[in-house]
Amino acid sequence: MLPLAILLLSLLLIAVGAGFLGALLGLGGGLIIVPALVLVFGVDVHLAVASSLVSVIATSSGSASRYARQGLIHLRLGFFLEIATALGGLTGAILTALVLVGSTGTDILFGVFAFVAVSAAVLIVRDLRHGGVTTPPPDPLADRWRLHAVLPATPTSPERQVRVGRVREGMAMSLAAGLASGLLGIGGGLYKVPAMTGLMGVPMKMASATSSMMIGITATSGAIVFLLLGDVVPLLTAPIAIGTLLGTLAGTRVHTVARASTLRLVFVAVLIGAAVLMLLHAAGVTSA
Amino acid sequence: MSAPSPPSTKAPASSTELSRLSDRLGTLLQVGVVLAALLLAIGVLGTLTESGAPTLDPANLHPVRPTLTSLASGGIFAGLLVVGLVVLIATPVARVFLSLETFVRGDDGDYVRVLLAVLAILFASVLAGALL
Repeated sequence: MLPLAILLLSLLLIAVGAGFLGALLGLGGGLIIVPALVLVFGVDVHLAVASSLVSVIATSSGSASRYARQGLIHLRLGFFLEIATALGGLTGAILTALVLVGSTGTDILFGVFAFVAVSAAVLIVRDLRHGGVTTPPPDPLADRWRLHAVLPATPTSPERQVRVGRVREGMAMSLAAGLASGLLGIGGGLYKVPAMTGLMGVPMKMASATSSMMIGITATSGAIVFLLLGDVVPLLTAPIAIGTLLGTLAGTRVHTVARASTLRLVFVAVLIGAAVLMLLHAAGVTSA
Repeated sequence: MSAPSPPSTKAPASSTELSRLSDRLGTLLQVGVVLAALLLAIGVLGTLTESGAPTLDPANLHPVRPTLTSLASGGIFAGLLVVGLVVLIATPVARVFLSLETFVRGDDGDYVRVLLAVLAILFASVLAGALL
């Protein structure tokens, strides 16, 4: 067993790395934290998910506070979709903490993780070729709930009207994002951002800013469940939350500089590797 | 039904309100996360300096339901860790309350209901964690 200081430091450093890489690619670090805790440190996957989910809240608050001051967050849309993501987060956390336990349940959880990691990899690769914002058809629901917005002007682009559509589809995908969040300890921005850009017609910058705020409530709805059930081990979670926060803050600062596609491919390789190792772990091939 | 309502983002009063809310949310989130990170950092460093420091064996961790007695008997730094986690989790919730206050003042019934729905789900999380 490692001395406590070394152990906490290595947890911190892994979290810094995960947060940094995640921020560079506009994803949270959760998809790296969970397999790292399980495969490297041998942490029970349920506790790893709980720790990761708490650290996701730190990431969200840290990045959303900056976006909020820049006026980039579409508050009404965020609040509206949070109904779906919070409901999903609560459901996912109950599933992971109370239903997917025991050896079969845990195997299912590993399978879900592998599926989501691979689908994340696919989304990242697709985005390399076409990161499209669609123009959705008019949707009375968007009028009813006043979901249209104005993207603030920047030095390089003028103020822009944003016409939102496909509200039901966006809600459904937000529910799925919440479910993945509570199940796996991730933020779910992976699904929220494409829901807003690809389905609802929200510009990328506004979608990722809004998603970063929503992630806080999404993760909180699940984290409360894990915390009260005792799945959040404070000494394990603290260095991870601090590390992810520091890594994210550093990553968002270089975000605009480094968007190299090689980096994305490295991340894709990491995700697929993590998926394969998690499946092997579940099958009992590797031992932690 | 009357004619379809015009693009409704153009109510100047409410958009000023929203941008003020956005600024305040930014400050609230920053204060919350910095405070939580400080508490957690002090808790971790303090734990390391304690004599007979607790051990952490990552491969042999088990869920332990927190109770008031377990929290009270854990020592100051263990307590700070828990408080830090609670502040971290409470920060987004505080953000919902702050937004709710703005929409109540702006007499925006639609979004008061939306935010109340979000709060109801968070309350359901508390119930689920405490009772299941």
